[in-house]
Amino acid sequence: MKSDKWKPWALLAPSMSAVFLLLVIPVCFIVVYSFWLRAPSGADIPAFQFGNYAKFFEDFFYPKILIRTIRISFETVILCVVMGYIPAYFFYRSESRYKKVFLLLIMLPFWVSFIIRTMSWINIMGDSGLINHFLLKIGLIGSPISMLYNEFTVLMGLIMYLLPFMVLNIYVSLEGIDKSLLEAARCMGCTEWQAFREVTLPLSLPGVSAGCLLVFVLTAGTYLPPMILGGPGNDMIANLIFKRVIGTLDWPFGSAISVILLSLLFVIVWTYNRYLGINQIFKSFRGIEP
Amino acid sequence: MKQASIGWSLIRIYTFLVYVFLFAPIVVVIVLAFNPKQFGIFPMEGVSLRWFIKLAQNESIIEAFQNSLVLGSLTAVISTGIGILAAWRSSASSSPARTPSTPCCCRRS
Repeated sequence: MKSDKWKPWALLAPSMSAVFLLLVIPVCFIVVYSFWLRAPSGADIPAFQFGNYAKFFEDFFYPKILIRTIRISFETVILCVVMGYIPAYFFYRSESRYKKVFLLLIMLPFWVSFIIRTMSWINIMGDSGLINHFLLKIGLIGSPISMLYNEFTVLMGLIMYLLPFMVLNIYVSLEGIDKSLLEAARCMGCTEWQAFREVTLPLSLPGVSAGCLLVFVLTAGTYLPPMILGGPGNDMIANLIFKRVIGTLDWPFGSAISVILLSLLFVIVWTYNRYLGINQIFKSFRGIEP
Repeated sequence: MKQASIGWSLIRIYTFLVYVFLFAPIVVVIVLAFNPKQFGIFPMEGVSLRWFIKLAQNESIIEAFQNSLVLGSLTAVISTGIGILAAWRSSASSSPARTPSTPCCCRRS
C-alpha cells in the first residue's frame, strides 16, 4: 500500500497543472495588471497603485452597474428555479418511453451557438419579427409594438442560456432519491402533494442549491445577452470589462473591474456555502430524520 | 400512478411551454436559413437554398468549419483524458478500502 502513495498525486497532476497553468496564473496576471498605470500612449506602465480601484468607486456610475449585475443574477436564479423545477420533476416522474428523448432535447440547445440563439430573439420579438407579424395578421394591433432592448429581454436571453443547467442539476438530484421513500410516504397516508412536500422537495434541495450557484456565477460573468438584447441602460459588469479591454484597450482598469467582480462573487459564494450550502441542507435533513 | 390526474396534466403543459421557450429561437434560425431575402424578417417570401449555396462557396467559412472540428475533437480528447485521471483518483480516495490503482469499472463489489 505504501508504495502506492504517490499514485493519487500522479493521477491528479495533469488536471492540477491544467488548472494552475490555465486558470491560476492568468488570474494572477489580472491581479498584477490591475495595479498598473495606463499610459496615454504606448505600453502600460508597471506600478503598484490603487488608482484603478479608486476610479471604480469614484462616482456612482460603476458601482450602480455592479449592483444591477447582482440584482439581475438573483432574478435569473429565481426564475430559473421556477421554470426549471417542474420540467425536472416531469422527467423524474414520467413513465413515458420517450423520457430519454426529452432529456436529450433539453441538451440540444447547446448544439446551436449561444450567440445565434440570442440573436434569434430579435427575429422573434423585433418590430418585424414573428410575434409582431402574427399580432398584426390577426388584427390585434395596428402597428408593431417594440418589445426588445429592455431588462425583460435581457432576462429572457439569460434564462434561455442557463435553464438547461438548472434543469439538469435538479433532475440529477431527483433521480438520486430512493423511490421507496415516496412509496412509504404514500403508504403512511400522505397525499401526493404531501409526499412531494415532505420527501421529494427536501431531498432535491441539494440539486436546486448547486444549480442556483452555477446559474448565479454564470450570469454574473456573461455579457452577450445584455449586449445583444439589452438597451443602453442594461449593461452588466461583464459588458463594462469587455468595453474597457476590447473597446478602449484599458487593460489596467478592465483588470481592476474583473478583480472587484471576482472578489464580490467569492464573498457571495462563500457566504452561500456557509449558510445555505449543500452541506447545510444535508445536515438539516439529517435533523428531521427520526 | 397519478399519470392521469389534473396536477400531472398541468406539469406536462408547463414542461411543454418551457420546451417551446427553449426551442423557439432554434426553430426560427432553421426556418430563416431558407429565407430568400437578405434580412431575417417575417413574413418570408418563398423558400430558397441561396444561403446554403453561398456557404458552400465561401472558402474561409469552410476553413473555419474544419478548424472547429479539429479543435473540438482535440479539446474533447485532452479534457476527457485529464478528467478521467482526476475522477479516478477522487473516486478511489472516497473509501480507504479501495486502492487507487483499480478503476471503478474493473472493481468487484
